[in-house]
Amino acid sequence: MSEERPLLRLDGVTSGYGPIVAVRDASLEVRSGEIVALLGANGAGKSTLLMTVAGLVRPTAGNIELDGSRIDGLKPEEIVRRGVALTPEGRGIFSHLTVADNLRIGAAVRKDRAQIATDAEEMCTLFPILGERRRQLAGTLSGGEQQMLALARSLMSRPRLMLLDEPSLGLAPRIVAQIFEMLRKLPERGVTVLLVEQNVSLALDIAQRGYVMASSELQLSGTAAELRSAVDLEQVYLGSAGDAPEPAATGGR
Amino acid sequence: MAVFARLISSRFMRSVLRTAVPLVVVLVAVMVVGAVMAPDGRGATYRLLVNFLITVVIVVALQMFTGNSGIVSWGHAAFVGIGAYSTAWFSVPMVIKEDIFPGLPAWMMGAEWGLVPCLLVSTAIGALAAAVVGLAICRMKETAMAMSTLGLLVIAHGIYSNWEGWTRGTEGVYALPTNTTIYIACGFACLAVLLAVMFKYSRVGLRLQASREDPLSAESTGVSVVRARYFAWVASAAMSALAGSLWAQFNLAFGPAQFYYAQVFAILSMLVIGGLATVSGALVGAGITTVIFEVLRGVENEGNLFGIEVPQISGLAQMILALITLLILIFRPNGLLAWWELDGWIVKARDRFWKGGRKLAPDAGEKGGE
Ligand SMILES: Nc1ncnc2c1ncn2[C@@H]1O[C@H](COP(=O)(O)OP(=O)(O)OP(=O)(O)O)[C@@H](O)[C@H]1O
Ligand SMILES: [Mg+2]
Repeated sequence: MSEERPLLRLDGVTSGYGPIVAVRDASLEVRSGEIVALLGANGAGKSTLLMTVAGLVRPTAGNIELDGSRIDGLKPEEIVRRGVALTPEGRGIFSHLTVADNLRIGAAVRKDRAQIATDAEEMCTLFPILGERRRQLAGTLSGGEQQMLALARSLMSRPRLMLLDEPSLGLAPRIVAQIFEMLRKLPERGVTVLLVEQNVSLALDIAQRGYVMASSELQLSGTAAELRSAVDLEQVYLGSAGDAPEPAATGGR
Repeated sequence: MAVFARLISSRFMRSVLRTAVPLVVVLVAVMVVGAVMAPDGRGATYRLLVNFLITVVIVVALQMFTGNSGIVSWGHAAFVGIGAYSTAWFSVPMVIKEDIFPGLPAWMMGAEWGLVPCLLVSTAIGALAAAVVGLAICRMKETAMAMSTLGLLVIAHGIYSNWEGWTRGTEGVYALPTNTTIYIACGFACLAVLLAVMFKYSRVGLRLQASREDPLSAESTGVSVVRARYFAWVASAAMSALAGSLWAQFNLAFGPAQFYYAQVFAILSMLVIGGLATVSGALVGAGITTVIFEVLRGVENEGNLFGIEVPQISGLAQMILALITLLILIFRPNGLLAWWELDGWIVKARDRFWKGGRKLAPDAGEKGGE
């Protein structure tokens, strides 16, 4: 552990939906320039954890700090302004708006108009397909293209921290490889990443560290190499209670 | 001047003009027809055309909110009513006002204002009412919001029907001045279209549309969904009140029944038939519905369909309109124009013509905002 202040720090965060607790007493750190994976079975609470950081779900206990200052309780808009961008599960693109308008909304919290236009151009170099389709309605893009649009839209807010929720969801391996290649380079752009993934090996390929979540709790953490060799990982995932010390992950929904 | 030139040359303004100009041309054509056919400003055709132009303002106002936010408002007729009653308070001659509005304070009793002051005050009162109500409504979730607009309609109707001193209750109001001509109605219809198109392509309009597509995702992208909805709510209510004022100054007498379910249904039908998402859809829907109503009214009242005698059936117009709305919802749920403004259709038709009916990619084409 370095002495340096982490970019994101969760301390004892509990959150959920009304009476349902989906994240219990979660503590984690993401340091600047890292890619950190958040793994776990369906219904473990990964998406809820990301949404809590993004301010879409209010935590009922605990602190969330971005670069040393509390962000829990702030409006999502304010959290985006401070440099956190969530790319939601299922992409959440705006289907009946054009690709260009989707990107423009990505910059909703920014005021520097000229720079926004330049950044949109840059997104079109980063993802050439978006440039070609800029005037097309976003809903007519393929799944992979939509995921690229969702990533580009997040980047348009010039985030320091990106929260990525299952960017590989429903995509062909070739496209997934392409997207992960791009994610790997995010730290070079000054973007730190907290990545939720079902595809464990892919996630641990690009991540330096990771956490494993099961039954609403963070149960395991370590470097990518440690997690890769951890026996429990399989068990947490497969939910086979067997001789695993932790309670097995619930199927959730 | 330089500012104006920059505005025109901006991409935003180009998109706005490209979409608004064809619509303005249609509206002006309607005006010309009316002015030529009834130069004296009388007769059934003239009344029909002026009422159509006022209806355009009402439907376009609703489109601004419902079309961009995706939240159905059942309550906009209440704001049309606010505009109409406000106009009556400030324009009915004092001698009659003392009789029909005994509750008015002295300074309002004496007011016998003309067209423009009445429009201004009505719009302001409408905006104020919406600003207050919106504080509660716009914070709600989508479905709760739609439900509460229905509540708003019922409450407003209750007030119009029972606040005797200010509304004369169910007996209704009369003796308003005739100030709205076809030129004025057309002018405001064009203005409404222009404002609605500008809103659609504006930053806040775009954000509102994003929230229509996916509210949670819009929120996480940094859009303040509540603020966008509130802005559109107040603006569209103000425009509805303006339309109510225009309407009152053309129809001269009205009662609370004129701002209730039947009207709400008619306005919503127009929007659904033409297409919620576009300003052009609002105009096309208003046009089609007006024609249907006019034809069927002949059947209903006189047993006359294009000069042919048919059996008289009352309530026919409402039923047929409901049926058409249902058919549209089933077979073309996004309305006739769906996601394209009229300019997009014109471009598509032109391309089809030149390229020999080649099927075009599902591209937004000349869709504005880019
Ligand atoms: N909007 C909601 N209202 C109520 N409960 C919810 C809601 N969203 C999620 N949950 C519940 O919270 C728990 C955690 O869900 P979450 O979506 O965070 O899991 P996840 O780890 O992201 O799963 P997956 O891998 O399937 O995406 C689940 O039990 C789920 O049913
Ligand atoms: Mg999830």
